[in-house]
Amino acid sequence: MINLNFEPVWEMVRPVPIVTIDFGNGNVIKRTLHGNIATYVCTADGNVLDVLPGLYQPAVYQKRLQDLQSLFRYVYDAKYYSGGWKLASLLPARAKEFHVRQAEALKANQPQLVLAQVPVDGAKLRVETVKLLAADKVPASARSTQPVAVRVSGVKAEEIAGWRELAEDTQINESVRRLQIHTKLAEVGMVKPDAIVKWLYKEVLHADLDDPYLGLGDVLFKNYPFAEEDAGR
Amino acid sequence: MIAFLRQRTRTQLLGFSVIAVMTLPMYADPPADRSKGDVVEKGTKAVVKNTAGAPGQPAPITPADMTKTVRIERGPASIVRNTGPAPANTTMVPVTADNPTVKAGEVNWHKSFAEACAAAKKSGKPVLLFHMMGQLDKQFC
Repeated sequence: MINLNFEPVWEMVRPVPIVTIDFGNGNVIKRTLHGNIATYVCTADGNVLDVLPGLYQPAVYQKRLQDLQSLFRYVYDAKYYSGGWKLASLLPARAKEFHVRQAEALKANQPQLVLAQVPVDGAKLRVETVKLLAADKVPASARSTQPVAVRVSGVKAEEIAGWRELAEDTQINESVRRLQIHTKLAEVGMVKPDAIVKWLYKEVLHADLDDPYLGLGDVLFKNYPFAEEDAGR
Repeated sequence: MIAFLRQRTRTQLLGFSVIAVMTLPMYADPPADRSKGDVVEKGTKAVVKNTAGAPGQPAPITPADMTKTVRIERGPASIVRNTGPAPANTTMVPVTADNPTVKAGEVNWHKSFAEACAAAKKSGKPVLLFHMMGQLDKQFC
C-alpha cells in the first residue's frame, strides 16, 4: 500500500536509547527504551499536511494511511469546485479548514470527520472528489475505505492487534495526540517537518529531543543513592 | 648350429615375455574395482580404523563422532544455551553483537526527504515521511 500510494522516506531524529542487561553466563537482554515514531504526509514541496503520532495498531494505521492519502486528494481536488481560485493559495486554506474542523470535533468528543470519496454533482462522467463529512453523514455511495487484512511478517497480526498497550496507545493517539496536532497545524499552517519535529516529540510524544536523557533524567537519577559518588569520579 | 638354436630360443622367450607383459592388464582386476578400493572405500576404511578400540575396551572418541557434536550439534546447543527464560518483548542476543543492519521492511524507501519530494513531483503522489528514533535498518530501533 505504501509503495503504491506514497513516495516513502524514513529519517532518524536521534539515536534510540538501548538498554543492555548482562545477567552473566552469556545471558544478555537488549532492548530499546522510550523510542517513538511519527508519520507525516507531505506535499511535493515538503510541507506537512498531517501527522500520525506514535505507534498504532496495524489495522488502524493502515486506515489512517488511507485517510492521509484522501487528505492529499482533498486539498488538491479543491480545484474541482474552487471557482477559479489559484491552487497555490487554496492549498493552505483547505489544509487549515481540515485541521480546524477536526480539532473542533475532537474537542467536542465527537468522532473524527471522514474524508469520503463521493461523486461530483452534475458531472456527466463519474468523477469523484473528496469531501470532509461527519461520520454519520457519509453517503452510501461513497467509496469504502475499509482496511484490508493485515499481514505482519513473523508475528500473527492478531497477536499484535490484541496487544493491550498498543491498543491503549492507539486510543491516545487518536484522541489526545491527534487533537494536539490538528490544533498546532491549524495554527501554524503548512510548514516543513523540521519546524515542528521538536515540538511534536516534546509536547505530544513526551520525548524531549534536546534533552540527552529524553526527559527521563528525574526518573533515572532522583532516587539514585550514588549520584554524588559517580559525579566525583 | 647350436648357437643359432640358442639365439632363436632367446628371441622366442623375449617375444613371449613382451606378449605376456602387454596382455597382463586384460587378466588383472578392472579399473572400476581399483577405484572402489582406493576411492570409495577409503573413507570407510578410515572410519573403521578410527573407531576400532582395543579388544575389550570401548571405542575411543574419534574424529568421525566429533563431527556430530562439533559441527551438527553446535548450533542447537548454542540456541538452547541462549534461549533461557526471558521477559516478553525482549530479544536475546550474543554478548558481542552490537546493532546489526537489517532489511528495512518491504517498503521501497527513498534515500532522503529531498529525493522523495523530487519523486513526488514526478509521480503526483504525496510524500510519506517516517520519523523515528534510531535507524529503521538496524535491529534495535
